[in-house]
Amino acid sequence: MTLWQKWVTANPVFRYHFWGQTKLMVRRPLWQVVLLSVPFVAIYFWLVNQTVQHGLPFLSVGLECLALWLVAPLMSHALFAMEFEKATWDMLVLTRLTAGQIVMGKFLSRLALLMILVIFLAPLTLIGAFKDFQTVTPAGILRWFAETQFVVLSWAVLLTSFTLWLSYWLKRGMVAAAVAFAGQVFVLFILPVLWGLFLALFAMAGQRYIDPFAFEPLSEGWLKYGWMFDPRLAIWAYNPALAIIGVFVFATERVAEKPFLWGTWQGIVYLLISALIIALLTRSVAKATRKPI
Amino acid sequence: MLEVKGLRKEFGQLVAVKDIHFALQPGDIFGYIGPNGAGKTTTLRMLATLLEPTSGTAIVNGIDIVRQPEDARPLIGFMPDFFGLYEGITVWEYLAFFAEAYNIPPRERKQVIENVLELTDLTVKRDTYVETLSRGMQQRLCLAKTLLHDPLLLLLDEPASGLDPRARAELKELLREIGAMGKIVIVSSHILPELSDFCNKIGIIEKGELLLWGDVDDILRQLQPARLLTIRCLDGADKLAEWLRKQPEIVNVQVVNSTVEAQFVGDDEAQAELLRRIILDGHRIATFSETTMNLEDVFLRVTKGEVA
Repeated sequence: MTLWQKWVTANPVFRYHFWGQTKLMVRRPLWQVVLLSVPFVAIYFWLVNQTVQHGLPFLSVGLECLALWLVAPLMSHALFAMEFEKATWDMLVLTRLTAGQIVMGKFLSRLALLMILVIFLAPLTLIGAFKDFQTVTPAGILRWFAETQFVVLSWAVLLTSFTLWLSYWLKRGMVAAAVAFAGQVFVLFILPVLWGLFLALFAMAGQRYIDPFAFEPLSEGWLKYGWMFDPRLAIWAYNPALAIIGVFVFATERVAEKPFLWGTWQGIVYLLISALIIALLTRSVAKATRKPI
Repeated sequence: MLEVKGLRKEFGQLVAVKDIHFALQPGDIFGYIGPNGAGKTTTLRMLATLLEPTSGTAIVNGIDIVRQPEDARPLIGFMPDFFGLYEGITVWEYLAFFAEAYNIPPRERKQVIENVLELTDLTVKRDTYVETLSRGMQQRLCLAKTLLHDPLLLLLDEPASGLDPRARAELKELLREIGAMGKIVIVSSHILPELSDFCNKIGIIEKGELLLWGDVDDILRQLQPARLLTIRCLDGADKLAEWLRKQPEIVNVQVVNSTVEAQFVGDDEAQAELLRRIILDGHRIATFSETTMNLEDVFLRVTKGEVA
């Protein structure tokens, strides 16, 4: 059996979380489905229209960030917690499913749902960029698009795996969601501000101040390659919002020299951390349930 | 067969289950009796491989549940006392989910699901959403799920709790059928009338200690070596009691509310002969009956009402 079959096609956990719960929605009377869908379809077509008319790629990128980064914890917070809260966990443990199938089934079902969101939102960004980025070549636009999508999506993947991990350990869905959102707010907003204040204090003592929004220093000297490992920059450089702004700044050549792998590297790091979390989670489940991985 | 060898579970200082031993054969229905907090659920969760014992083990059909939990699981079906169901799916989809999770081959799944639905009388509910089922129906669905992979050992933790009398009676009937299928069934309960009808073996646990276990009839014989006869005499109980005290096969006599209760040692023949002699002696007997101990009497006699 291939991993694809084991984790996806022959995995009832994946199918239940991807499709099982949503079937209830689909099986509602048609008028209810239409009524529920109308506002979303209307908003979506209004956005498509705005994009075609005015470009506004940042509106759609912002919308993607908002949607994916809010939805990822919302979709994942109960995946394990509901098993404990509804007392279904024991029954799942006693089946022949492996720990890997249980964890990956839950995790991949959420990634699949995130991809559906991306399929709807990403084209808006691309259309908007072609309309708006007059000075950038088509190849440059595609590259900007790919790098931006990579950062947005890989952060959403990291959020999903982190929330899944919280859901397993905290065993309470609402608590897991609250911690995931609070953690995100801390990492995206509070920590960068605190770090800025901290560095400003050092600047008062005569040290060099690094402005997170001035991307020029990142293109100079050894920082062009060393930014990835500079602890002073880590809190900003690995902030996905600042990474996306950086991708835009370098793509539109507001800063001529792009630091090595900017955008791609952050995405890779998010995915690596995510993989580590999922691996640790699988190991924990295997150990707790005495199941094979 | 199932062989439980010195199973012990400690939670810090608390010893929840103390080195219990028992053995069961296919077809046995074992009533696991004890007050709340005695260690019944802990024992069942260890046997179900959900909880690792501190020491000891159990062997199911030659497979050690501690060393080879994943190999033992296909042989075990566990129905917890408190369970939930996946919502948003129908009865059929729920069972199909577990049939796949138990690795039942795709071409056999349909038949297996139909069989368990029929056994649990849920065929008419196959397209009903699980969350809309009554408590009794959900209990049956959980049992159907537990039987999907045809386990040899069935562990049912308080299966009748929260059920109305009709649902309880139906569950009893269902468990009797399952026992007749040659499975080893362990049913834990603190409601004794639930178990008395269909268990052929019992174990009584208190404070984590298995006080006794064995064949129901053997235990009753052990605990009640003499038969308890209850006799109502129209001429007055005291006169009859006086006469009975002189008989060699009577070991104890007392008068309770104008009825004589006497402990008698002997078989059915001797008992019939005693009745004949009482009548020949001129006593006018209105009722003459033998009172047998039930599980409740056994339980009350053996336990002290303590929890671990």
